[in-house]
Amino acid sequence: MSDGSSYQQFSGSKVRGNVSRLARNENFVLGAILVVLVVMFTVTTRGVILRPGNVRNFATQASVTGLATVGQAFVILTGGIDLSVGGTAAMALCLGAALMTTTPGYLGPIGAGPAVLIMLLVGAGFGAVNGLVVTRLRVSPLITTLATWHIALGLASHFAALSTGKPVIILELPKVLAVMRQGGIGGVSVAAVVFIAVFIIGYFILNHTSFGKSVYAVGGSEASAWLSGIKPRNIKFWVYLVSGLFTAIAGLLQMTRVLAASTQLMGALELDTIAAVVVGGVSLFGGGGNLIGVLMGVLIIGVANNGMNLMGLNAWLQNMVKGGTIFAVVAIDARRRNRSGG
Amino acid sequence: MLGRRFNREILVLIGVLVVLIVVAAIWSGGLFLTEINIRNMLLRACIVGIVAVGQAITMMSGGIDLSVGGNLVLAACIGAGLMTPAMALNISPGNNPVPVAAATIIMLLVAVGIGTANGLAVSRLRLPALIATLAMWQITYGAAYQATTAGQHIAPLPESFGIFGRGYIGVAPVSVVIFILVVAAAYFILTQTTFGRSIYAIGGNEKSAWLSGIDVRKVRTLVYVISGLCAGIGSVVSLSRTLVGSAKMAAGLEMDSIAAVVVGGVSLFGGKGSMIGVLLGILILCVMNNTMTLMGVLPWYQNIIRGCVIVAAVTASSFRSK
Repeated sequence: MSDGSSYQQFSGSKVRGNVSRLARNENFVLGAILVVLVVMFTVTTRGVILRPGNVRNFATQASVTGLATVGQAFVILTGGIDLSVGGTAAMALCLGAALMTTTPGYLGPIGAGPAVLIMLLVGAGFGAVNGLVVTRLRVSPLITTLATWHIALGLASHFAALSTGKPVIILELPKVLAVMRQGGIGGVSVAAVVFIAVFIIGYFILNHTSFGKSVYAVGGSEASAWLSGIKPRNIKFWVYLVSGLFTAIAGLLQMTRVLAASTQLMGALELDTIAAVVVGGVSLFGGGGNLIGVLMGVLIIGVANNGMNLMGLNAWLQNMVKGGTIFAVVAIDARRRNRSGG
Repeated sequence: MLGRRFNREILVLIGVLVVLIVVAAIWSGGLFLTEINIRNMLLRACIVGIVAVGQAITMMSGGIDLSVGGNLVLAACIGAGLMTPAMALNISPGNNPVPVAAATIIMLLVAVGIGTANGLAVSRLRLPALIATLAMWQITYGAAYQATTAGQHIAPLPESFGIFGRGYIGVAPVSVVIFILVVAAAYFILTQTTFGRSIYAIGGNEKSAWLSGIDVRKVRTLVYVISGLCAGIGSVVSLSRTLVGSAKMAAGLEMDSIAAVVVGGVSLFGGKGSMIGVLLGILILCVMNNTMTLMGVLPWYQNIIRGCVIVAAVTASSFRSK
């Protein structure tokens, strides 16, 4: 899935200058699109979208998706893909809830702290499984994450069904989780703060560490990366682990939003993360794109979701729109690559 | 010709199938072998099987079709809506139900149309098959749900439509006959026509295929059209079996079809695999599904097991080809 013709070949500081110039340009376009979208939805929702309550809601929801998107971006940058994000999030979420709930018949209750830790470990572990299957067993990321998606969803149902034998919504979770929802630093919900923090860390790793450069290198051309001493297998393993971990955190945030857990909660996550990454300019063929664009993509998809919800469009219509958007954006990206010497 | 190369793998698959059947029979205390159960299983196997044949052809050329489930459901809902002026989906012109024959043809056309869109996206727009069919999956499912107002049922459908899923030709159920015909047609195409050989060639090494004069773009498009057609046929059989149109009909179908194809030895990277293997893969998968349902294994555990089976089968096939 990666060839040498990405427009961001890694070759030192000259590229860094080119990259930032390109980044600024494309992201400017994305920012414009974002503004247009906001205006459009303001009109169609008669201003509801701009109400402070909605904005806070939007920020929290976008943070959840954004967290998982950062992980997905890492994976796609190496030329892979992680379809299992929805399942992993649901699994971590249901496991955590099963551990924390005071409803009889589940696994707990244990304290929120240890439960959260277990959730993160499980998420990272699942990501590690993805990474191992892709790098050691050499199964294509598509099939691997497709399979693990279903496995994870199955496990999520397992945890959700512990008390009654049927997957239900787990309630009675410790109130301490709700703190995430409230205003934290300067009125911005704590969830958004978590997302911003993770995003900054991700940005730093991607752009200022050798690991990050290796990620781009592996995505651009695995053979070249190998020749310059990078071990693509290790890089790929780690990005899947990271994706699993971030996805689990996203699940955690989602759980704090509603103080409940169910298998349906993280429904459109894979679609949303892929859409956000793709809209943000990251090429599906690996090696191209940057996190600022991804942030723009997260915001655009988030606004679109929020706006469509407010307009009363049901979930299936929204999925259609998102599917169509992915289609269109990737088609444009593919044409651009072919024309510029693909 | 190409079937002979995989003799050992075919034997392994037959062995696995036999073992599975024995295990199923013992574990279920003989329930597995009752006529009712076998009939149910075969009927379900036909639907998965028809779709899996299309999926197999697509995967042999190096692609994949994730949209088959949504394709089937959309065609079914449109067909159902045409045949029954029901509340859920009212597209019968002037409230008069469209004759069964016409509706069937329209269903097939819809499915082929979606397949063509997939094919064009992959071959002309150069979208990765995964993304194109993933997007199409969402679009078709969304359209189906939207059209049926969020999953309501469209019923009742005219009895005459039931011939595909419920009718019998002599002793054999029509659906089984259709399935066998589809498999035979695919086998014929793959082994006896140049088109079939070019499918393998493209799957094996696209550049070499291109260099030897194969029209890669056309073949690529056509495999998705075929997959769409198979989804359409599956849609007709499935809808005719239940005589109720609903957007929830095809749950898990894409996973089942991929699992069946992968177990049957078709390599994900294309270029390898035989129809016989796929047929065995379909049977293995359906025996497995049927047994698990019979023994009351909860649906989500079945998903887990299916996922593991896919990973195991793909790993095995990639080790085999080293």
